[in-house]
Amino acid sequence: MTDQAEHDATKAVPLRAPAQVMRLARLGSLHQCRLSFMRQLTRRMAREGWQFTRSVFEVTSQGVGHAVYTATGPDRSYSLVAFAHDLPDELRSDRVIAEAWDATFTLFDGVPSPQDIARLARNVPIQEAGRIKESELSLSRANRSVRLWTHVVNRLARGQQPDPDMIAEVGYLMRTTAVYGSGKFGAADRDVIADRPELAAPFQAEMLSVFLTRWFVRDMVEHMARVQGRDRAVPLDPDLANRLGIGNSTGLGMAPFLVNHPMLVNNWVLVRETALARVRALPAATPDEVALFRSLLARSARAVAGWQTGHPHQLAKLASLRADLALLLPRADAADLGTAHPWDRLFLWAEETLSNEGQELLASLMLEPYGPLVDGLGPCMAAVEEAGFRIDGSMTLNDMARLIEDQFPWALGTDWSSREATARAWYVSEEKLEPRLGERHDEDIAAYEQPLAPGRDAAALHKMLAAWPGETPLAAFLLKHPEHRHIARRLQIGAKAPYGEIRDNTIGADMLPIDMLRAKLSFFGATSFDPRSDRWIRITMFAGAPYPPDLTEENADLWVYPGADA
Amino acid sequence: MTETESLAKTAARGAGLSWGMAEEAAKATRWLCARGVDACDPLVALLFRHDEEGHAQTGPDRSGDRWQGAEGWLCPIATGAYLSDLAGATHLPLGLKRVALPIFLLPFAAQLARDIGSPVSLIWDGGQATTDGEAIALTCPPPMSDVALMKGGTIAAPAVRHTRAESDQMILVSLGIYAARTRAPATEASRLAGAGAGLTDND
Repeated sequence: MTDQAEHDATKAVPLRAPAQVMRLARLGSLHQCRLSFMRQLTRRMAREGWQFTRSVFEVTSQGVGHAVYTATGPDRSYSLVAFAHDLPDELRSDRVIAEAWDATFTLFDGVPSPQDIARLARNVPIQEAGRIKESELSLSRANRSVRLWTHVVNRLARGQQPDPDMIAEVGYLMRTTAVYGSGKFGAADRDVIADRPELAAPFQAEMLSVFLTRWFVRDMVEHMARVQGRDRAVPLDPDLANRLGIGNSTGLGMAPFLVNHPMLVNNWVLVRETALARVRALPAATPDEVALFRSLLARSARAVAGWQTGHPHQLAKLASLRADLALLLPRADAADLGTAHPWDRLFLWAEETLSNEGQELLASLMLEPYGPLVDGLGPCMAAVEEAGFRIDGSMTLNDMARLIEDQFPWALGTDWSSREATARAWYVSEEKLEPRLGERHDEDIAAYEQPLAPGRDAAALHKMLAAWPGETPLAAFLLKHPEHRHIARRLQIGAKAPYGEIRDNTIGADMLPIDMLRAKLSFFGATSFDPRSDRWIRITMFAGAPYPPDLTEENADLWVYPGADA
Repeated sequence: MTETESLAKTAARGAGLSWGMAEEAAKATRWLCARGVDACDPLVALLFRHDEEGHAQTGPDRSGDRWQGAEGWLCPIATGAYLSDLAGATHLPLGLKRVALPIFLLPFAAQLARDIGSPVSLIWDGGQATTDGEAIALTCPPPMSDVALMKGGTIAAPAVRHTRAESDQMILVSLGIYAARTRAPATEASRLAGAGAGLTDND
């Protein structure tokens, strides 16, 4: 090996720093990647040859009834039990406070007996008001897109296919409005399933439930078309069906999740950053790798061109992303991506040139040619939050102060007495425990505030520590100040899990909750982010994916990029 | 279990504990439930006491191997959390004066047992408890008692791990009443603005 080659081969690229990655503006610009939970699921099920069957479909001509869809892997089966309802339009709401839906679901651990179905029929349709058991892994519900649903049913009933433009515009026939997992309303705890390989990566049960839900929704729309059109009705064209995803409305509930699970979020981001650094460290790329990257970049550009939103914030970001692509596409075509650390060079150029949206899209795309280098990291995205729970009381207050200075320099430079810095408060409403965000200085909510402002709390602790001798052990301080116990624990977790902490003010006047929502949803693998306000967002899931019975190793991974054959 | 832990945390907060201390109470509740002990029942009793007597949640006043509470009783969560923070640096045996619901010391004693690599026993009025860090043996936990915390003890049969918390419905309702205090009453304004609604959900 020549000196030069040796130098090339061993070049190490450091991970991007938490202070760079964990800013809200960047988190709100993340895109799905090959480590996303949906893609981990479909790759695994294809690789392991999972079988999918619909064992029950008993739905009346009014669209009321139930169906059972079973996925069977090497060791276990999981069944989606779906209930279809006849919902009057005026009751259709995506809010958590809704009490009726077009369809309700649970993912059953195994194959349900008739007794199980009877029990679930009493509980699943009323969602939070019902009770499920350890044999259930999720609880969810969905509403129709009335516009697209009616259009598709009418067209199919007349023997015609729906308008492709309308399918592109809406993107889904039904959207889930909540998918509850681990331990909610009686469902099994994460602990119960965490050691099953197929559910080891995060949110695999929830993703499976949505994957099967999409199949049920296609069956339902074809069923209703047959009811209406009888012999004239035709099935939905497979190509059009593949373009449809499951919509999802995500509100404020997910934003606290991100703050409340620092170990988990750390592992998501750390894994993606590790994957990125591995690819950037490669001294060269093969022609096949470069070709795949260029092809997926072009397909991404097509997805970005079709991305619909009406929200000013996302419209501005989309404009930046389109401008980024106008620079990136020619650059990627012209640049020599074969040698001399091509990915690192391209990424350094992007950091100088592109907006957060473009940089993060590129980061995700650069991982695509490198499954063998990257995919093994997938299961590492899980975390046991409890591992960070215990406080090390022997740490000195000097060291605690240093943790704050390391993790929260921005918070120490913030004037917490200003109204803007503490403009908001996170709280939970009495109504169905809906998480909300209020104006602290205008509403009577401060007494109900949730502990979701680590920056403010860390700064307050730092101030308090100054009055104590620096060599005092933390245990003695917390004995007198239990009100700082929460943030002290968090700071020690932050030392172990540096990507678990958002490096911005989560209660400031200019904070956008949709940035937090997008970060989480991008790790799920969602696309077409469409904020509907500053605090809830619509997305689609599994758009472009094969339906379960059609899943193969060939189509299990890159379905997220439109136009494979175009 | 996750659900019970979450309810316990919110209830403890509702009864006036700090968030950090409420987390300890919740984790301790879960730990006991996982060993087949219905910890929700004593938790209600503990939270009732906190709520009635004000927030006596600061930890023990130490005087060598005797710890006592400034208000005449010790909170097992605050005492346990302090024991946990000290890790193995506690001198045993240790006398704890008037501990309310001392069963809640057990999860923290288990940490201590793991720290020092030896079983730890709690002797209280009319009974005792032993843990090796994982398993427990337990007789007659009292509502209030002086407690002697010491090294040693044996566990006849290791406890079976439970994945579900079993608790009386009325007890859960009682915890729910404390938990409800952490939640803001809904107003029309918060209903609309607080979750960002207002746009039609039908499309």
